Amino acid sequence: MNRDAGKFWWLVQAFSGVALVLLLGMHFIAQHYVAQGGLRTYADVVAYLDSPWVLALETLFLVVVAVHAALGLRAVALDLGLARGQQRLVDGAVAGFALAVVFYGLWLFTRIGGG
Amino acid sequence: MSTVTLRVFRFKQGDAAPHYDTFTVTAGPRTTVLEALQAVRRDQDPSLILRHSCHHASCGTCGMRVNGHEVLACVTPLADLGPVVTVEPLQNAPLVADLVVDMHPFYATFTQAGMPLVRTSDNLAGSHPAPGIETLTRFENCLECGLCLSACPVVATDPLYLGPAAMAAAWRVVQEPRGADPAQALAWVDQEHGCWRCHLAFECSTVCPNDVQPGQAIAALRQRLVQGEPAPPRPRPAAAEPAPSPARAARRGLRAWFDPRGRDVGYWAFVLHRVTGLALVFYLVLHLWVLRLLARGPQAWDDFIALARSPLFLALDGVLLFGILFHGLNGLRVALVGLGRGAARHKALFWALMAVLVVALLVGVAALVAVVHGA
Ligand code: SF4
Ligand code: FES
Repeated sequence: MNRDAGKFWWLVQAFSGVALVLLLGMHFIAQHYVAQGGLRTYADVVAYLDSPWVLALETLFLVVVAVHAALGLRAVALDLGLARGQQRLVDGAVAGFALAVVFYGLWLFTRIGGG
Repeated sequence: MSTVTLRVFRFKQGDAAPHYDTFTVTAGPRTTVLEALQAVRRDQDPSLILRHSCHHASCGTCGMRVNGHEVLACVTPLADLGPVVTVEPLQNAPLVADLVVDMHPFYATFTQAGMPLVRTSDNLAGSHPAPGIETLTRFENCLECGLCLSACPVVATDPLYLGPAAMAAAWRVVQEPRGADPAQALAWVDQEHGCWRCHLAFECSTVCPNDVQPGQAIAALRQRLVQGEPAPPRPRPAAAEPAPSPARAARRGLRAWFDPRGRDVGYWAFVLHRVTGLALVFYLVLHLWVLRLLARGPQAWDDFIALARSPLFLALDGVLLFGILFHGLNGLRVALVGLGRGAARHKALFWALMAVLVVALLVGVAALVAVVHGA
């Protein structure tokens, strides 16, 4: 981990957090107002994800939430004062977690969109 | 004169475990905790180990925890503390005996910060800051008492963390170098276990007896680093290497996260931020797992939605909403203050954001109740 890693990841964590506040607001608004009455049925969900704007918003939300959650887990792990080897292990684990969340979410989008 | 019972932490090297001894002392309106402990040692138990020197909040050697709060015993009146007073050593430092902890590792960080322990002058009343100095706050005011280390939740778990007092000293060097190299001080704090590890609980600033405000100093260091202060290559100081196991054993560890009794609002916010953060990661995984029903087709999803509109589920949604709102709004505070914005008014900012939380939570709960009635 180079010297700038602390600053870099802290800034990513802070800005992804601020972005999440905005994206989560948009996520709720889109689900409850764009999809009139909310996503009550399977058909509602399919129709909702049909819009490319909604799909772009939800994908962005998914990526940012995965990054923020992974960095949060990493911060908790670093708080415990890990040795350098353990820290690398944690870095790998949280990166794997973020990738798994993103790819699983994208797979779900394709399953729903494609029926 | 009143009678006070002192419950005093006792431990000698070689003991299997610490215990508490009880002493009864008489206290006048001006008797301090230090004077009471000295009276115990003189009249009741000469084996009681404690440390002090100046008796006037200047040397920083009499730091201890009284009824769970870090204080300087020499300026803490006993009469204000109730009939039973518990006295313990500082936390997060190796215990030597009874009320004395080993301060050597802590003192070493001052040298690493670039600020010598010995200072030569102080501001005279009515004097003005020299050109280039932003305020009259002087981090030479630090008594090296270690109260901030004992109170900090990050010091409690991370043996590599540089700690509040040392980083306040580094900020002091940046503000007024006096021959020291500010770039070196900045480079020293610019590391994972330096200023970026701080969670802005501000407990250090709360307990500091001399208004050094280490939390605000750490926020200022971050602001300076984000603004792109050039930092030369940093020789990694010895203290930043993994610490030997006794240093870890001397710390409170995770207990500190789950025991915020007697702490100030920033500490509670830190604990709740951690708890809500971990809970939200758990929810994220649960949410994605539930969404797999979408891949199974309409029937599975519509069955789940019927369940999700039950009052129990909607009550859990209320808890979720609180978690999201708290983590989001307190996160905004952490991001802002962490970049040096509003560090001086972090508590006011916190309460303003909590007012937003209450309003948003009420609106959200009203919407959930409407769903129950309209279902
Ligand atoms: S910053 Fe304050 S609490 Fe910490 S060692 Fe210095 S005087 Fe004591
Ligand atoms: S004895 Fe010196 S600060 Fe208390």
